[in-house]
Amino acid sequence: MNTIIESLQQFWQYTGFANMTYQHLIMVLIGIAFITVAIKKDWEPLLLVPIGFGMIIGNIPITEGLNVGIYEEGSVLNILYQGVHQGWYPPLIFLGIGAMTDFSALISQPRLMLIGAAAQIGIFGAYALALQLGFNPAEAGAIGIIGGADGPTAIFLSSKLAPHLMGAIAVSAYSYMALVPVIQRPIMLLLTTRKERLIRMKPPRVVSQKEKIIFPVVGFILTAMIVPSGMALLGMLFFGNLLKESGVTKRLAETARGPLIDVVTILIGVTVGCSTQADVFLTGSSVKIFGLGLMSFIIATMCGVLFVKFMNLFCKPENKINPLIGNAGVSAVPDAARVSQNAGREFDKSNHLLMHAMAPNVAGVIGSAVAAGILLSFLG
Amino acid sequence: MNTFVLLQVSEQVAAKSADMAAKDPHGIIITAVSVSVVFIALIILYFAYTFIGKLTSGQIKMPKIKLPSFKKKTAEVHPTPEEMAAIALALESKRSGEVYAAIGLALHQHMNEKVHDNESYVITIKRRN
Repeated sequence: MNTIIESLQQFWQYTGFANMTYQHLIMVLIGIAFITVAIKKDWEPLLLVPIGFGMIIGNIPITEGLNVGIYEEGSVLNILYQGVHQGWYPPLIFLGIGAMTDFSALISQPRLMLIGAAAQIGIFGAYALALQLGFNPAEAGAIGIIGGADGPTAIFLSSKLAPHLMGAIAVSAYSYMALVPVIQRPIMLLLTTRKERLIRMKPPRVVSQKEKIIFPVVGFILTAMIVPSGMALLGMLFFGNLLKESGVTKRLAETARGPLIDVVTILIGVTVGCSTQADVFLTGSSVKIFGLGLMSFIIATMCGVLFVKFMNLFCKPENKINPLIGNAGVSAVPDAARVSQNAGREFDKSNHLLMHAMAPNVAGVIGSAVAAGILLSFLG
Repeated sequence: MNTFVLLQVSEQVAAKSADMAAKDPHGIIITAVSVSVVFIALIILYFAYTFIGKLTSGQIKMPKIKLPSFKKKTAEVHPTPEEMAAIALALESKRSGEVYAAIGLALHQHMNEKVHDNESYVITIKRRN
């Protein structure tokens, strides 16, 4: 009888219930909240559901030696996590993004590319703020990239510069990406007049197939020559787009934008969620990171909108740009462009800004990859 | 590998970070340089795509470079007396009609650059249910 009781006691010591702390419980509840928001509000469900469930997996308390935890060498989760830790997954996601993105809007209106550059100021604004809050330059660089509104880039850079902050940075980046409509709309309305919101832009010209094929080749050579450290992200982005536009690699493009990106999204979401173990995640630094992430989104949106107003000073009346597309300079594709479209239609039902907003939006993807490359060359 | 090792930054990153903290404690230099580089990169792309757009839409015309015409040159080339003699001998020798037909077909294909088959490169075999 005693042996049975001892065995049961020993088993109890191994269970999650016996080892549960209030920090684990908080993280499990955050994970459930992520899943709930994704399902109920439809906010970035493809990311928040895997991350949320990953948080629950990662915060089941385990005893050392079971070799199941994400930070235990050789465990299944640890092997899957290497894709995040070593930075393999983000370039694969970029390959899929390239294969699914139509850059026509950008090719037809190259001047809108500059809005994508202006929005990247958010990254460096957050970098300077993070330094003031006591983070070292490498950590500040990894935190600042949240302002690029690009989850894979944030994971890629933080895995190189500040792996200990990666969980908080990734969760912060994806959370704010899901909240793009909530964060950006009030800033856009605050910085624009009614007259500016009613500006109608010229329809973009038709782009030839030849231009679409030249775009990824020229784009990659020029950007990678300037920032070779961003080669992995930029190379995969433009390569994916070449697969799409070449017309002869349809099967490869379909795989890149379909099954491949789906598999990598599942792996990246679950493992990033798992990496937010309570002892690593629930710290004062994480709270600061969330605050800085929000600031970087606000700065990026403001800079994008204000830069359009600045460009309008030099544009002929018929070529004016609607400043409501300025927010789309962040690379949350296509959510930021959708915010522009919805905001534009609030004031003029027949003013469709989506096509125009897609130009700075995809420029933002290139811009954030370039910015990550710059930070990596300075600090990595 | 424990948590601590997996979450550590590399020595190179730590050294560069410390160096940057000493040189640029407020992040002003790195911000100014980085923003400038992002703008320069996208401004270069802007000029490149504007140029390519104008080029493909015909707004800019590339100067035509006169290339020597292959046909003209070959037309101007006359066979040497030795080659003429060889051709005459070949024509006089007795050959069957099939040989002339094969030579004629080969020459025709060669002149029309159809020597090689055009292959689809699709090697997938669809199974029939």
